[in-house]
Amino acid sequence: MTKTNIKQAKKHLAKIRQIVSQTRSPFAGMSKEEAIKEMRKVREKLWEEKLAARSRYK
Amino acid sequence: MRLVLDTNEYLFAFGLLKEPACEELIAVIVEQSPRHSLRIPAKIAEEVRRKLTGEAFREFIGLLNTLSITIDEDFLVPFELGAKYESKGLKPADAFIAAYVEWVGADALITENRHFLSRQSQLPFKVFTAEKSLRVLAL
Repeated sequence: MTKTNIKQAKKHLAKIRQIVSQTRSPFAGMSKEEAIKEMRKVREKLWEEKLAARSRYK
Repeated sequence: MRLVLDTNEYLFAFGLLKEPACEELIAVIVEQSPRHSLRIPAKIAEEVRRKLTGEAFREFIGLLNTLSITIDEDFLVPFELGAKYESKGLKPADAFIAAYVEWVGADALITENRHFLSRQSQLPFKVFTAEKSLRVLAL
């Protein structure tokens, strides 16, 4: 990876953080464990929606 | 090292919840690129998308592209691998992530999810928190 690409990657990362800082977080007011629990709920929901129907072992 | 970062690592690294170790980890991976290679399945990319604005997600895709990271389609992962991890007690969606980590031959899954961390001994790859991975990557 060139220095230019690393510089570009850092710009993308900084931009994401800037946007996130200006938006209300979906985890606002949550503890770390609560946020992880919420993400696991989304994971299971997505699994049900998109993957479970295709699963040969479920 | 070849690494898979769980959804929580990306979202905490981006600042959706203040977790300095997660923020530092992604910065280190970018700074040291391409020393460590990241792999990401469509499932994790989709989970990240669900929690970011459209503009932020476009930047995320830009970040992946700049680091030459492609998003792997979920259907490529053999179902039998997922079944193996389900039989070890992981929920189906977590079992898929474990199957993906094995399938890409990653050295480690980095996650704050204790459901993975507590099963370290049953898994053929390392499971680190961001804090632990920072110590490992510094070696």
